[in-house]
Amino acid sequence: MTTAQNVTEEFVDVGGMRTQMLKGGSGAPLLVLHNEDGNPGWMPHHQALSERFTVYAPSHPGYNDTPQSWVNTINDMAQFYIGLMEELGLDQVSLLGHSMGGWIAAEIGAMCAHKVKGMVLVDALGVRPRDGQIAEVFMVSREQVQQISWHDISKMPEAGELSQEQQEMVWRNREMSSRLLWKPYMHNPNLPEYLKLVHVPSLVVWGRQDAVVPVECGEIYNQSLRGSSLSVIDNSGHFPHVEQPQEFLNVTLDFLSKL
Amino acid sequence: MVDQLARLHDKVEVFWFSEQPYGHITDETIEPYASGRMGFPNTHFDPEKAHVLYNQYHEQYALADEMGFDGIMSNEHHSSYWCMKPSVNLDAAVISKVTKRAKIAMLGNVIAINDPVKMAEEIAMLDCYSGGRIISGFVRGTAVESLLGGIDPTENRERFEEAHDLIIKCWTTPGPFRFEGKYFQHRVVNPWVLPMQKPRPDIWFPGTGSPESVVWAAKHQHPYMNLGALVDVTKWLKQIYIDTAEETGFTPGPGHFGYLLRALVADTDEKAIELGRNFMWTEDHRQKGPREHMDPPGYQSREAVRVKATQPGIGIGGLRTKKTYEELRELDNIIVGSPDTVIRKLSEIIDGLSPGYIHIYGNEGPMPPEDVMRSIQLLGQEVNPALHEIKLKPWVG
Repeated sequence: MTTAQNVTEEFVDVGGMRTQMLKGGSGAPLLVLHNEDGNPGWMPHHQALSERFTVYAPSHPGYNDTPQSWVNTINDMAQFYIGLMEELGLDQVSLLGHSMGGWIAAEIGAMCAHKVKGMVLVDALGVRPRDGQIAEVFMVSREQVQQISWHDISKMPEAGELSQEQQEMVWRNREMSSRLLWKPYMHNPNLPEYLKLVHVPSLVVWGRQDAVVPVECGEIYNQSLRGSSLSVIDNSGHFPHVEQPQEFLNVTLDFLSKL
Repeated sequence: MVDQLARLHDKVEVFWFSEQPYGHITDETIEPYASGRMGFPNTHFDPEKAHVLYNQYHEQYALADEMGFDGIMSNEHHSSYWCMKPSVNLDAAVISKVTKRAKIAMLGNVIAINDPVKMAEEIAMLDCYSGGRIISGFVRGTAVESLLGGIDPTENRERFEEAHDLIIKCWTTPGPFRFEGKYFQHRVVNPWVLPMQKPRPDIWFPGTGSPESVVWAAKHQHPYMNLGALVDVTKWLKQIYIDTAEETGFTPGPGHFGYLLRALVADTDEKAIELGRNFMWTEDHRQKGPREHMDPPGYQSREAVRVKATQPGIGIGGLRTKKTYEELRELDNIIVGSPDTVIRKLSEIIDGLSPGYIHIYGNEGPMPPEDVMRSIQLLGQEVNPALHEIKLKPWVG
């Protein structure tokens, strides 16, 4: 896994589950939850955030080098993370999640609002649009998924040559996403209702041209979360933190530093 | 009543099989579409034409029975123009009524995507209809069957195994009982209709080349039916069956193994060779589509994919090794000819594999129906009796 200076790879025992985690920076705790592709390693946005926060970037159960164990649903995943926060002795944690990671963050917020200081949901799965639909990503080719994921596909990072071991990990990660996201397809019908019951300061960030999860879903999140704000980033598809990194960091750091 | 579980086989049983294709599709029709199944619009289906075809296929069944075929095999696929059978149980119900003697092998019900209790009930009905002639194959289906069934393909294997156990329990454990599985939960199971065959109908399990399917079948002592792999690979798979059977603690034999191949008989070699070209009908399009349709993550092991990649398969698209009609004939994967030619070639295969069952995939695409009927007649009158003369070699000892 890609790491940088001052970043450590640790394995944390969470209820008997050996959890892979990158950790870097200093300051208030920020738990970064990766998307359905798996833990991307220490990326530029982790680095930028770690200048103000202690960034924890674990691999979810079933992804990369963390075993799946009993985790079969997004609900299980959220329960697991409440356990991880307990294990690390973290309180008043900020959460930042992209796509599936955003959905996990929202479920944690709904379950355990008193431990969550605030959350940033980036092009999050988890709610179903009223008019549009979340795009099909399992029954189509990877090339097609890439085509709809980017506003400007030239911004997509080069994957490079993968070793046999890395290819198998990519395959296992996809298998885990299939388990977690298949049905109901990429959403929890009651999540908007759950979110209305709690108060967690939230920032919803969305790429305006996201063709995987339409911006309408960001609006639903924003309406369901009390006291949240929605920041729609122009010229960006499903990955605003990669396509428009500066604007993403500006709105995210502005929100997190005011918590 | 036949006790299918006895497995005393010293002669091969020959089964008739047709995919029941919608033969009006041409390469030109399907060429523009990226997918031959999920993405090929059903607006190309004409029920009037299907009505005619279904009746032709039912006549084939009646003739195969009359000509003395030992059995008729049927199957099920969804969203497939080359197989108009979204319900194998419905087809078996027809077979049970248009035939008198032939065994009816279903290969089979896609139990992972269906309610297992209802499957147990329907198969029991069929066994009663047919007077105990049912062989109840269970299949995982292609991945497309799971996708169309709305089932996460990573669940297919576990769902299949749980459904398998529940169906057997329905047939062998007096009701009412409770079943609380991971995927199927019934607090009361008590099917009134039960199979005629005791302890239960035989269960077959097919595969196209994946060794894990062979291991699974052998561990459960179910006969394994290989669908169209090359003979050499089939021999290797048979050895895996033998090894697994020995580990499991039973003596395997011909009754545990069957082999399907494409075959057509005509009055002359020339005519059969010409008609046999229809076996290549829309070959490139049937299973085409993104890898995610046939091989989604979690559906099958990487080992299975590697083995299958070396095999031609039947109408299998991009994941398979493509071969020409001439090459497939050369490899005896497609056998066409006069009765003498076909007897000679099939006898060699039977000598080499010693299978309890041979499935004749004998009809394809736009083959003229009268030629298919003639093939059934020649198989039944000339080929099958010669094959029955072959004394099968025991596998072990």
